[in-house]
Amino acid sequence: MNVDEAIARACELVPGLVQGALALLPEGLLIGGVGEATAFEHEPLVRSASRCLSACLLAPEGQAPALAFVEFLFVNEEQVLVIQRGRRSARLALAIVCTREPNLAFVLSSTRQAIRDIEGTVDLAAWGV
Amino acid sequence: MACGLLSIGPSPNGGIFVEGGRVCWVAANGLQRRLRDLLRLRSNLDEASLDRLYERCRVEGRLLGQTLVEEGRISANEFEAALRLHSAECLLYLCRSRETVSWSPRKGRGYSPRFTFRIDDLLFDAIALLTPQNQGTAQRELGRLDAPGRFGAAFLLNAAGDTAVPVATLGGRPSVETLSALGEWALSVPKASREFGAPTRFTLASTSSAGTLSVWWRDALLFVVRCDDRASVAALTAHHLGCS
Repeated sequence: MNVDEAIARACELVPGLVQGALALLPEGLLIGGVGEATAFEHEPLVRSASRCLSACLLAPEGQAPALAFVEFLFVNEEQVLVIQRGRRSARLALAIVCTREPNLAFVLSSTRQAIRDIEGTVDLAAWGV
Repeated sequence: MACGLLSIGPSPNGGIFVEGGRVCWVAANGLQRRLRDLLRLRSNLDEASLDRLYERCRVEGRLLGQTLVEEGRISANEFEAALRLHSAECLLYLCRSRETVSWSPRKGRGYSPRFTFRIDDLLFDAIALLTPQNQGTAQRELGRLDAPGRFGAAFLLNAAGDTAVPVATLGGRPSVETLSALGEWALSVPKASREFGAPTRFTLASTSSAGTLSVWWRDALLFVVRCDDRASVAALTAHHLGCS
Protein backbone atom coordinates (compact mmCIF):
# COMPACT_ATOMS: atom_id res chain seq x y z
CA MET A 1 0.00 0.00 0.00
CA ASN A 2 1.49 3.35 -1.02
CA VAL A 3 1.21 6.57 0.99
CA ASP A 4 -1.79 7.91 -0.94
CA GLU A 5 -3.68 4.66 -0.43
CA ALA A 6 -2.87 4.68 3.28
CA ILE A 7 -4.10 8.26 3.62
CA ALA A 8 -7.27 7.40 1.70
CA ARG A 9 -7.92 4.44 3.98
CA ALA A 10 -7.34 6.53 7.12
CA CYS A 11 -9.78 9.16 5.81
CA GLU A 12 -12.49 6.70 4.77
CA LEU A 13 -14.70 7.62 7.71
CA VAL A 14 -14.40 11.38 7.28
CA PRO A 15 -17.89 12.52 6.25
CA GLY A 16 -18.27 14.65 3.13
CA LEU A 17 -14.60 14.33 2.22
CA VAL A 18 -13.64 16.41 -0.82
CA GLN A 19 -9.86 16.32 -0.67
CA GLY A 20 -7.05 15.92 1.83
CA ALA A 21 -3.32 16.44 2.00
CA LEU A 22 -0.65 15.12 4.33
CA ALA A 23 2.26 17.52 4.71
CA LEU A 24 5.59 17.82 6.39
CA LEU A 25 6.18 20.99 8.43
CA PRO A 26 7.74 23.45 8.58
CA GLU A 27 9.00 22.87 5.04
CA GLY A 28 5.45 22.54 3.72
CA LEU A 29 6.25 19.45 1.66
CA LEU A 30 3.31 17.48 0.31
CA ILE A 31 3.69 13.82 1.34
CA GLY A 32 0.49 12.53 -0.20
CA GLY A 33 -3.17 13.22 -0.76
CA VAL A 34 -6.67 11.89 -1.02
CA GLY A 35 -9.55 12.89 -3.28
CA GLU A 36 -9.76 13.92 -6.91
CA ALA A 37 -7.40 16.87 -6.48
CA THR A 38 -3.97 16.94 -8.07
CA ALA A 39 -0.78 17.66 -6.15
CA PHE A 40 -1.01 21.22 -7.46
CA GLU A 41 -4.53 21.53 -6.07
CA HIS A 42 -3.39 20.19 -2.69
CA GLU A 43 -0.84 23.00 -2.34
CA PRO A 44 -3.21 25.62 -0.86
CA LEU A 45 -4.09 23.14 1.92
CA VAL A 46 -0.43 22.60 2.67
CA ARG A 47 0.23 26.35 2.78
CA SER A 48 -2.77 26.90 5.08
CA ALA A 49 -1.56 24.15 7.42
CA SER A 50 1.93 25.56 7.41
CA ARG A 51 0.67 29.08 8.19
CA CYS A 52 -1.50 28.22 11.16
CA LEU A 53 0.48 25.38 12.71
CA SER A 54 3.73 27.33 12.66
CA ALA A 55 2.26 30.10 14.83
CA CYS A 56 2.45 29.75 18.61
CA LEU A 57 0.54 31.82 21.10
CA LEU A 58 3.30 33.22 23.27
CA ALA A 59 2.66 33.82 26.94
CA PRO A 60 4.11 36.92 28.60
CA GLU A 61 7.63 36.45 29.91
CA GLY A 62 7.82 34.39 33.08
CA GLN A 63 4.32 32.98 32.69
CA ALA A 64 3.00 29.77 31.15
CA PRO A 65 4.80 28.33 28.12
CA ALA A 66 3.67 29.14 24.59
CA LEU A 67 0.52 27.39 23.43
CA ALA A 68 0.95 25.12 20.42
CA PHE A 69 -2.25 24.39 18.52
CA VAL A 70 -3.04 20.89 17.28
CA GLU A 71 -6.31 21.44 15.44
CA PHE A 72 -7.87 24.14 13.27
CA LEU A 73 -11.34 24.27 11.79
CA PHE A 74 -12.18 26.80 9.07
CA VAL A 75 -15.84 27.08 8.17
CA ASN A 76 -16.91 28.86 4.99
CA GLU A 77 -20.19 28.95 3.10
CA GLU A 78 -19.80 25.64 1.29
CA GLN A 79 -16.91 23.77 2.82
CA VAL A 80 -15.04 23.00 5.99
CA LEU A 81 -11.27 22.82 6.20
CA VAL A 82 -9.81 20.87 9.12
CA ILE A 83 -6.11 20.90 9.90
CA GLN A 84 -4.78 18.29 12.31
CA ARG A 85 -1.23 18.35 13.63
CA GLY A 86 0.40 14.96 14.11
CA ARG A 87 -0.10 13.73 17.66
CA ARG A 88 3.17 11.79 17.69
CA SER A 89 5.15 14.07 15.40
CA ALA A 90 4.49 17.81 15.42
CA ARG A 91 6.07 17.95 11.95
CA LEU A 92 3.14 16.14 10.40
CA ALA A 93 -0.05 17.90 9.30
CA LEU A 94 -3.22 16.54 7.76
CA ALA A 95 -5.46 19.09 5.99
CA ILE A 96 -8.91 17.87 5.01
CA VAL A 97 -11.66 19.62 3.05
CA CYS A 98 -15.23 18.43 3.58
CA THR A 99 -18.63 19.63 2.47
CA ARG A 100 -20.64 21.72 4.95
CA GLU A 101 -23.45 19.21 5.39
CA PRO A 102 -21.95 16.83 7.99
CA ASN A 103 -21.99 17.58 11.68
CA LEU A 104 -18.88 19.57 12.61
CA ALA A 105 -18.19 17.49 15.71
CA PHE A 106 -18.25 14.35 13.58
CA VAL A 107 -15.86 15.91 11.07
CA LEU A 108 -13.47 16.88 13.87
CA SER A 109 -13.54 13.51 15.62
CA SER A 110 -13.09 11.57 12.37
CA THR A 111 -10.13 13.70 11.25
CA ARG A 112 -8.53 13.28 14.70
CA GLN A 113 -8.82 9.56 14.23
CA ALA A 114 -7.48 9.85 10.67
CA ILE A 115 -4.23 11.54 11.72
CA ARG A 116 -3.78 8.91 14.46
CA ASP A 117 -4.35 6.13 11.94
CA ILE A 118 -1.90 7.66 9.48
CA GLU A 119 0.76 7.95 12.17
CA GLY A 120 0.07 4.38 13.18
CA THR A 121 0.07 2.81 9.74
CA VAL A 122 2.09 4.88 7.28
CA ASP A 123 5.85 4.46 7.27
CA LEU A 124 7.16 7.99 7.14
CA ALA A 125 10.76 7.20 8.03
CA ALA A 126 11.86 8.30 4.58
CA TRP A 127 10.49 11.75 5.40
CA GLY A 128 12.40 11.90 8.66
CA VAL A 129 9.24 11.46 10.75
CA MET B 1 7.92 48.55 39.30
CA ALA B 2 9.13 50.77 36.47
CA CYS B 3 9.52 54.47 37.16
CA GLY B 4 10.87 56.81 34.54
CA LEU B 5 10.38 58.70 31.34
CA LEU B 6 9.95 57.19 27.89
CA SER B 7 11.17 59.93 25.57
CA ILE B 8 10.28 60.07 21.90
CA GLY B 9 12.87 61.80 19.72
CA PRO B 10 16.38 63.07 20.45
CA SER B 11 15.25 66.55 21.54
CA PRO B 12 12.16 64.98 22.74
CA ASN B 13 8.95 65.44 20.80
CA GLY B 14 7.26 64.25 23.90
CA GLY B 15 7.24 61.53 26.46
CA ILE B 16 5.37 59.18 28.72
CA PHE B 17 6.01 59.36 32.46
CA VAL B 18 5.54 56.09 34.28
CA GLU B 19 5.49 55.54 38.04
CA GLY B 20 4.84 52.20 39.71
CA GLY B 21 4.06 50.67 36.31
CA ARG B 22 1.25 53.16 35.71
CA VAL B 23 1.15 56.08 33.31
CA CYS B 24 1.17 59.43 35.12
CA TRP B 25 1.05 61.60 32.02
CA VAL B 26 1.75 61.70 28.34
CA ALA B 27 3.02 64.91 26.80
CA ALA B 28 3.64 65.96 23.23
CA ASN B 29 5.20 69.12 21.91
CA GLY B 30 2.50 71.39 20.60
CA LEU B 31 -0.27 69.92 22.77
CA GLN B 32 0.60 71.69 26.05
CA ARG B 33 -2.03 74.32 25.35
CA ARG B 34 -4.63 71.60 24.89
CA LEU B 35 -4.27 70.35 28.49
CA ARG B 36 -4.53 73.87 29.77
CA ASP B 37 -7.75 74.39 27.77
CA LEU B 38 -9.21 71.10 29.00
CA LEU B 39 -8.47 71.99 32.63
CA ARG B 40 -9.82 75.50 32.30
CA LEU B 41 -13.04 74.29 30.70
CA ARG B 42 -13.62 71.73 33.43
CA SER B 43 -12.50 73.86 36.42
CA ASN B 44 -13.87 76.99 38.00
CA LEU B 45 -10.77 79.02 37.13
CA ASP B 46 -10.33 81.63 34.45
CA GLU B 47 -7.19 81.78 32.39
CA ALA B 48 -5.36 84.28 34.60
CA SER B 49 -6.16 82.35 37.80
CA LEU B 50 -4.97 79.12 36.20
CA ASP B 51 -1.70 80.86 35.26
CA ARG B 52 -1.23 82.06 38.82
CA LEU B 53 -1.92 78.61 40.24
CA TYR B 54 0.48 77.05 37.76
CA GLU B 55 3.22 79.47 38.80
CA ARG B 56 2.57 78.81 42.48
CA CYS B 57 2.78 75.05 41.95
CA ARG B 58 6.00 75.45 40.00
CA VAL B 59 7.63 77.50 42.79
CA GLU B 60 6.40 75.17 45.55
CA GLY B 61 7.24 72.00 43.59
CA ARG B 62 3.66 70.78 43.74
CA LEU B 63 1.71 68.88 41.13
CA LEU B 64 -0.72 71.18 39.32
CA GLY B 65 -3.52 68.71 38.79
CA GLN B 66 -3.56 67.35 42.31
CA THR B 67 -3.45 70.90 43.67
CA LEU B 68 -6.43 71.85 41.52
CA VAL B 69 -8.37 68.95 43.03
CA GLU B 70 -7.15 69.52 46.62
CA GLU B 71 -8.17 73.17 46.46
CA GLY B 72 -11.59 72.33 45.04
CA ARG B 73 -10.97 73.99 41.69
CA ILE B 74 -11.94 70.91 39.73
CA SER B 75 -13.63 67.66 40.73
CA ALA B 76 -11.49 64.53 40.86
CA ASN B 77 -13.63 62.93 38.14
CA GLU B 78 -13.34 65.93 35.85
CA PHE B 79 -9.59 66.10 36.37
CA GLU B 80 -9.20 62.40 35.67
CA ALA B 81 -11.28 62.72 32.49
CA ALA B 82 -9.28 65.72 31.27
CA LEU B 83 -5.96 64.05 31.98
CA ARG B 84 -6.97 60.79 30.30
CA LEU B 85 -8.28 62.58 27.23
CA HIS B 86 -5.15 64.67 26.93
CA SER B 87 -2.90 61.65 27.49
CA ALA B 88 -4.75 59.69 24.80
CA GLU B 89 -4.48 62.58 22.34
CA CYS B 90 -0.75 62.91 23.04
CA LEU B 91 -0.28 59.14 22.74
CA LEU B 92 -1.83 59.19 19.25
CA TYR B 93 0.39 62.11 18.29
CA LEU B 94 3.51 60.34 19.56
CA CYS B 95 2.57 57.07 17.83
CA ARG B 96 2.71 58.86 14.49
CA SER B 97 6.30 59.85 15.18
CA ARG B 98 9.08 57.80 13.65
CA GLU B 99 11.63 59.19 16.09
CA THR B 100 13.74 56.95 18.28
CA VAL B 101 12.43 55.99 21.69
CA SER B 102 14.59 56.02 24.81
CA TRP B 103 13.93 55.13 28.44
CA SER B 104 15.45 57.04 31.37
CA PRO B 105 14.79 55.84 34.91
CA ARG B 106 13.60 58.63 37.17
CA LYS B 107 12.69 59.04 40.81
CA GLY B 108 8.98 58.91 41.49
CA ARG B 109 7.17 62.17 42.14
CA GLY B 110 4.44 60.67 44.24
CA TYR B 111 1.55 60.92 41.80
CA SER B 112 -1.75 59.93 43.32
CA PRO B 113 -2.77 56.50 41.97
CA ARG B 114 -6.24 58.03 41.43
CA PHE B 115 -4.75 60.15 38.65
CA THR B 116 -2.48 57.58 37.04
CA PHE B 117 -3.66 55.07 34.46
CA ARG B 118 -3.17 51.52 33.37
CA ILE B 119 -1.42 51.28 30.01
CA ASP B 120 -4.35 49.39 28.49
CA ASP B 121 -6.81 52.07 29.67
CA LEU B 122 -4.87 54.66 27.71
CA LEU B 123 -4.53 52.35 24.75
CA PHE B 124 -8.31 51.91 24.54
CA ASP B 125 -8.86 55.65 25.09
CA ALA B 126 -6.54 56.35 22.16
CA ILE B 127 -8.38 53.81 20.00
CA ALA B 128 -11.69 55.46 20.92
CA LEU B 129 -10.33 58.72 19.53
CA LEU B 130 -8.76 57.11 16.48
CA THR B 131 -11.59 54.87 15.34
CA PRO B 132 -14.69 55.14 17.53
CA GLN B 133 -16.89 53.29 15.04
CA ASN B 134 -14.67 50.22 14.94
CA GLN B 135 -14.34 50.21 18.72
CA GLY B 136 -18.11 50.45 19.10
CA THR B 137 -18.70 47.62 16.63
CA ALA B 138 -16.11 45.45 18.40
CA GLN B 139 -17.58 46.14 21.84
CA ARG B 140 -21.10 45.29 20.66
CA GLU B 141 -19.99 42.07 18.96
CA LEU B 142 -17.99 40.91 21.97
CA GLY B 143 -20.76 42.01 24.32
CA ARG B 144 -23.19 39.62 22.60
CA LEU B 145 -20.83 36.74 23.42
CA ASP B 146 -20.25 37.58 27.07
CA ALA B 147 -20.58 34.48 29.26
CA PRO B 148 -18.71 32.93 32.20
CA GLY B 149 -15.48 31.20 31.17
CA ARG B 150 -14.98 33.28 28.05
CA PHE B 151 -12.16 35.66 27.44
CA GLY B 152 -11.53 37.49 24.22
CA ALA B 153 -10.45 40.55 22.37
CA ALA B 154 -11.01 42.38 19.13
CA PHE B 155 -8.19 43.82 17.06
CA LEU B 156 -8.02 46.43 14.36
CA LEU B 157 -6.11 45.20 11.32
CA ASN B 158 -4.02 47.43 9.11
CA ALA B 159 -4.57 47.33 5.34
CA ALA B 160 -1.83 44.74 4.82
CA GLY B 161 -3.33 42.52 7.53
CA ASP B 162 -0.03 42.16 9.34
CA THR B 163 -0.65 44.35 12.40
CA ALA B 164 -3.36 43.80 15.00
CA VAL B 165 -4.08 46.62 17.45
CA PRO B 166 -6.35 45.71 20.39
CA VAL B 167 -9.58 47.74 20.39
CA ALA B 168 -11.83 45.95 22.89
CA THR B 169 -11.81 43.03 25.32
CA LEU B 170 -14.25 40.49 26.70
CA GLY B 171 -14.19 38.86 30.14
CA GLY B 172 -11.66 40.98 31.99
CA ARG B 173 -8.70 43.08 31.14
CA PRO B 174 -5.52 41.16 30.33
CA SER B 175 -2.13 42.84 30.21
CA VAL B 176 -1.04 44.66 27.07
CA GLU B 177 1.63 41.96 26.58
CA THR B 178 -1.02 39.22 26.64
CA LEU B 179 -3.22 41.13 24.21
CA SER B 180 -0.31 41.80 21.93
CA ALA B 181 0.68 38.11 21.85
CA LEU B 182 -2.93 37.09 21.20
CA GLY B 183 -3.23 39.55 18.32
CA GLU B 184 0.05 38.47 16.79
CA TRP B 185 -0.96 34.82 16.93
CA ALA B 186 -4.47 35.47 15.60
CA LEU B 187 -3.04 37.16 12.48
CA SER B 188 -1.90 33.72 11.32
CA VAL B 189 -5.51 32.52 11.03
CA PRO B 190 -6.77 34.91 8.30
CA LYS B 191 -3.44 34.41 6.54
CA ALA B 192 -4.01 30.65 6.52
CA SER B 193 -7.55 31.21 5.31
CA ARG B 194 -6.35 33.36 2.41
CA GLU B 195 -4.07 30.54 1.30
CA PHE B 196 -7.11 28.29 1.10
CA GLY B 197 -8.93 30.89 -0.97
CA ALA B 198 -12.56 30.80 0.20
CA PRO B 199 -13.92 33.52 2.53
CA THR B 200 -14.07 32.03 6.02
CA ARG B 201 -17.07 32.50 8.27
CA PHE B 202 -15.33 31.49 11.47
CA THR B 203 -12.54 29.26 12.73
CA LEU B 204 -11.79 27.18 15.80
CA ALA B 205 -8.26 26.54 17.00
CA SER B 206 -7.58 23.98 19.72
CA THR B 207 -4.58 23.02 21.78
CA SER B 208 -4.16 19.54 23.18
CA SER B 209 -5.03 20.71 26.70
CA ALA B 210 -5.65 24.41 27.06
CA GLY B 211 -9.00 24.94 25.42
CA THR B 212 -10.30 26.30 22.16
CA LEU B 213 -10.14 29.71 20.57
CA SER B 214 -12.61 30.95 18.03
CA VAL B 215 -11.25 33.44 15.52
CA TRP B 216 -13.23 35.39 12.95
CA TRP B 217 -12.85 38.64 11.08
CA ARG B 218 -15.04 41.17 9.40
CA ASP B 219 -13.84 44.25 7.50
CA ALA B 220 -10.92 45.61 9.51
CA LEU B 221 -11.77 43.81 12.75
CA LEU B 222 -10.33 40.52 13.93
CA PHE B 223 -12.00 38.75 16.88
CA VAL B 224 -10.60 36.08 19.17
CA VAL B 225 -12.60 34.42 21.94
CA ARG B 226 -11.24 31.72 24.17
CA CYS B 227 -13.63 29.13 25.59
CA ASP B 228 -12.71 27.09 28.63
CA ASP B 229 -15.25 24.30 28.14
CA ARG B 230 -16.94 22.34 25.38
CA ALA B 231 -20.37 23.78 26.10
CA SER B 232 -19.00 27.24 25.50
CA VAL B 233 -17.37 26.12 22.22
CA ALA B 234 -20.68 24.62 21.11
CA ALA B 235 -22.59 27.79 22.01
CA LEU B 236 -20.11 29.99 20.16
CA THR B 237 -20.20 27.72 17.11
CA ALA B 238 -24.00 27.85 17.11
CA HIS B 239 -23.79 31.63 17.27
CA HIS B 240 -21.52 31.73 14.21
CA LEU B 241 -23.72 29.32 12.31
CA GLY B 242 -26.77 31.39 13.12
CA CYS B 243 -28.36 28.62 15.20
CA SER B 244 -28.45 30.47 18.52
